[in-house]
Amino acid sequence: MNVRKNAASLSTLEWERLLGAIITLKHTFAAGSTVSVYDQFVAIHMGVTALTGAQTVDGAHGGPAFLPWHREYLKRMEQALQSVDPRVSIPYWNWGLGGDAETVPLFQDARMGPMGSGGANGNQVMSGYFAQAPNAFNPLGWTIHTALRPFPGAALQRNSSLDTSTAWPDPNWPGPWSSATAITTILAQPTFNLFRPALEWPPHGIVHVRMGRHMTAMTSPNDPIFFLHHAQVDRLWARWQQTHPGSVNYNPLGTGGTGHQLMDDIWPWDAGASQTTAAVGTLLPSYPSTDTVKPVDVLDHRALGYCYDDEPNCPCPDAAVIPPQPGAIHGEAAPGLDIPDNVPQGVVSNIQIAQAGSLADITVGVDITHTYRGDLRVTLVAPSGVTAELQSPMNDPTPNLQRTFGPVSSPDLANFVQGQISIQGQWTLHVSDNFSRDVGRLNSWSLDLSAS
Amino acid sequence: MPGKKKTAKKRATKKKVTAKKATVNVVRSLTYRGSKIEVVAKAVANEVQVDGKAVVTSRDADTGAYISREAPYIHYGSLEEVAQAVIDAKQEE
Repeated sequence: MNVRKNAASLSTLEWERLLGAIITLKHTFAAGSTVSVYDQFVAIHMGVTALTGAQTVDGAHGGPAFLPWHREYLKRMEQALQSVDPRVSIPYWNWGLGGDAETVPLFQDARMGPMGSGGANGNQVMSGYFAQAPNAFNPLGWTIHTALRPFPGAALQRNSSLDTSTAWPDPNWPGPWSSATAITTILAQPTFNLFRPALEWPPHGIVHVRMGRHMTAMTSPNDPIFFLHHAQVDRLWARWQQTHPGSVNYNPLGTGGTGHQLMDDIWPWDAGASQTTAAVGTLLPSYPSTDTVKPVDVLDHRALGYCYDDEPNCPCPDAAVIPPQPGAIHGEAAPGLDIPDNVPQGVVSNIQIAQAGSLADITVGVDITHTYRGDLRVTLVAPSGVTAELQSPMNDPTPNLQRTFGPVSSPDLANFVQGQISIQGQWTLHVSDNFSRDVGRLNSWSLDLSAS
Repeated sequence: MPGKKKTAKKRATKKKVTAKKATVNVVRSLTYRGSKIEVVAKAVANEVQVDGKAVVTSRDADTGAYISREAPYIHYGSLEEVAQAVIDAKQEE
């Protein structure tokens, strides 16, 4: 069983895996396609809003199929991510608690990235995995596909302020994002035909609107926060289903037309019964005519192979999200070393690995407190003597360096894996401060290795 | 030249009739942030236009609220509100 966890509870290692898998899909292309696997998902979400043929209305919004369509869509994205790293699940952004404690931690460089702060309109995301400019988190940068831009510009855009509490004068939603009381009211709706619209608007819609810019368009999956947001929507549907076991739990009134009924095929998994616009059609993956999905197929989320970490009888999250890998090896050190100011020799710390084997995967976690992390150079030396530069000195005044590095974020680590270097022996972390004035301390670091 | 005068009068009448036809289906209109919003009666349902261009709208299957892929994720109480959101979005660009 695949466990979807609260995003606020993910470890740094889990974030690294999730974000690494997203970046990989963004740069993975099906044979003969110029559209990445990730961007194909964006195109599907755009395409479902403009259908002709068997379906003539939006197949995923404003009707009962809103919930089953997005459940299937997220399941397929999760499967794609797991094709990169089987340990990854889509976490949920629990905006239902209404507190910034669930939300603010997501918008950090090492997680989902900050809100907009740059560019001509001040809305461009400027750092982290989803910044356009290549950086230490994402050496390839995050660029919106030219055919999937709702407005000019290649950079991901979000509202320029996280605190939008005064920008939405809806008396039902006074909080920054949502209200636990309102969620309770929605979950108490007695029938699906009342529950679905109550969830779709305002709570689902208001998160899109408050995130702003790319999240406000039908190409909203351009912003990967989309998937964490919709995992929460899906979780609330699952919870409603569990608390209404005696009721007819899908569209008993038969509203919504073709594509929204229990036994209708939902586009694009409908054997070609409906078509989207020609412009979007060229961006889509092709599905075999046998790959069809109906709402009835997705009513039981557990039958689809996943559950949410706070529902009854869901397996231990840690065990499920990070299953023991064959050959997995962990080492850690907490040297607590002061890093001398402007001394290239710096400090070193060692981890001994006793097991033999060839490196198949590697994650390095570092915890350094520092008043100006741009002063730092961090290098990992493998037992064979080959080195990987994890962090180079740069103009980055942000304090502290507390993150993980893996083959996606570090080309040198990717070379370690590609070279299948020996893991046995002494691994050394070298940390130095290369400019005067600011200082810091190497608190701890860790190595997670997979060997073949 | 009495004949010529008659022709001119006929043309003026024809012009007037054409102008009347163009406005007959407009149910409501207003100006918002410099753009003209018109709600136009159509055979199946009313349509809203911004500066003469139709905005794609539909109704939520269960609540009847207006929705639009041109200004998504909000449920609107009227076609005019949809049009205003589309204009707002365009001006934000």
